[in-house]
Amino acid sequence: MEKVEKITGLINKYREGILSQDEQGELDTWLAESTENRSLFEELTDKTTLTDKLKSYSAINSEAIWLKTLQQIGPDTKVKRLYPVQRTWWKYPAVAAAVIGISVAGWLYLKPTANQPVAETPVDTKNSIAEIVPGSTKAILKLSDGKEIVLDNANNQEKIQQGAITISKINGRLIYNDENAANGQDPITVGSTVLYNTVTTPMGGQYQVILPDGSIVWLNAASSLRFPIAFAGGERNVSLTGEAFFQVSPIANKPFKVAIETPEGNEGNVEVLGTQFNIHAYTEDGGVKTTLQEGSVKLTTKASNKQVLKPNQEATVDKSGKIIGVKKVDIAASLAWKNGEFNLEQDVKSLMQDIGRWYNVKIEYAGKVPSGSSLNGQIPRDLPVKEVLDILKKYGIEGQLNEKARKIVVI
Amino acid sequence: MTPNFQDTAWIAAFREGKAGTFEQVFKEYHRSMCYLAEKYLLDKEEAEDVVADAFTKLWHGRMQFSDAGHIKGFLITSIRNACLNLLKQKQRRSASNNELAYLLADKEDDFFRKLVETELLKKLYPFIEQLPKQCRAVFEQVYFEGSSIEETATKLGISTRNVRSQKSRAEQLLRDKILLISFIYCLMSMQNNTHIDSNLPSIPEEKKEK
Repeated sequence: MEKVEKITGLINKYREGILSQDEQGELDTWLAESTENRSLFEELTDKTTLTDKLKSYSAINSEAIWLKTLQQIGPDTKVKRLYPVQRTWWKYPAVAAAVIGISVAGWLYLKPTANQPVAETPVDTKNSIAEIVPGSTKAILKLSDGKEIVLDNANNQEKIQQGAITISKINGRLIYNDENAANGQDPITVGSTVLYNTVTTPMGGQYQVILPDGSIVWLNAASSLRFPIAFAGGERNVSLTGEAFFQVSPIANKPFKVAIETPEGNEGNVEVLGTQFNIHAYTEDGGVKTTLQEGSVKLTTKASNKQVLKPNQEATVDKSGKIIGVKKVDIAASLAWKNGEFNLEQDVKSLMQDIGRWYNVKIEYAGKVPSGSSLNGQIPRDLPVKEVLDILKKYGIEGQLNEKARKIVVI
Repeated sequence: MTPNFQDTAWIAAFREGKAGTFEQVFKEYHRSMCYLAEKYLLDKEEAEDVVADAFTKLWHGRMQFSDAGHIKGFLITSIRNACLNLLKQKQRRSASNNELAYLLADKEDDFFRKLVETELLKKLYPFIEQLPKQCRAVFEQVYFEGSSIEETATKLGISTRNVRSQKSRAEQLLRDKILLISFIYCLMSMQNNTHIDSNLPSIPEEKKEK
């Protein structure tokens, strides 16, 4: 190994033109040892071949190797996630999440933004049936002036300027960059009106938004997030329909609040200072689930019931605003969607709804909803729908796919 | 930031599988090890598998290691052996007449040369890796893919002006790393249609590329 380093060093110095006479002698000796040595040397000092080699060296897929390694090591808690092994859409450096204190605050901003129409992917074309495919990175951005911009995973960088706020769409993420805030000035508002944007994912869509304060929001399918393009004032207020995972940047004295909206109106609020949590608020699933991964959040329901959650706890709130349960959960399972998986550790109805939203298909039941008590684990969301149904069949849940009608009938 | 693999506290943590030490070793060596494996196997997927196997063995056997050189040596040896075994199996399956190919691929000198090449690339790669993100994307398009300024602009969805300025920036940054002088000089002379502009960060006018 020492000799390898020696020769490598000599070749490198040669490239830099800083070989001493002695070193030149050593290199010459090595080169004279064999014609193969000579030809390697020529390859490594030739611009074209060296560039090619560097290209293949750069192309090595760290993520793939890490994933393969992790799969072999197995679920060992000592090894952490090194690369974002899922899709590119959530590839973003983690923002440190901090444990927070909790302040009581009235929910002032509560302009309901319910009844957000959920954009649907076109279901049928004239003659051909739209193929049933897994969801992908897509959403619609609605600007404050009502203009709509289609967002997808195209590898392009496009900037949208809104006042002093630059919105970049990069690799399936939307990034809000508040230059004024970065300069220590007040965030921009037009007159006294705060400008709001809304990002809406269709069935079979997901998207990631990085808010002006650096907080990251992962939006699941058929969901929407409404937020001001800059966080003025003493609070950071956003509102959500559907499901999202939040990674909130801690800012002292500027709590982050999520208003949970459904077509029936406001379903409650989650207040945080800096933390990571998930809110699952699909109307059709009945009830709202808030799951805390890290930090601390305070939940206030529309019936004014309050609940402070600890990490790994999940609170379920029913339609009347009653907190019907707070329990310890397996975080990995609850956040499966964010990692590109369906969580099997939930009731069959919720699981099937997840599947329906992701493949943009309707779910029907021929008879009673199967119990599915033996279900456990996760299924990748990027599989063809048929494969997912095959897996479920092994667990005794038989779903018949009707591609034409875009529905799954569970028997 | 290269961790101090020689540090006794570091080794102790590594043996216990603590404090992200295994991840550090992975980050440090996986790329060069995969390159080495690819040199043997000429197959990306297989190379990745072999490297993953070696790191898995390293994880399970981490208690036996007492210094960093030992870790690197272990990785190299496991990868070499695994590659040779794979080649041997393939040889049997294909029942090819040049049955000594795998043995020829493993003469000590040949192994040595593979290591030299890998080590040299390991030394050069960080300069590219450390380029700012967009700068790197432009650099890779222009120098690795051989794209023109216009093609690069289209592929990355940025303006040609931005491509030019990022390209100059990449060249400047690489040139500043004295180590790469000859490398970047080579690259630039290769691109004979490229306007060499060493001092200005960007070229304001849209010069037509041929």
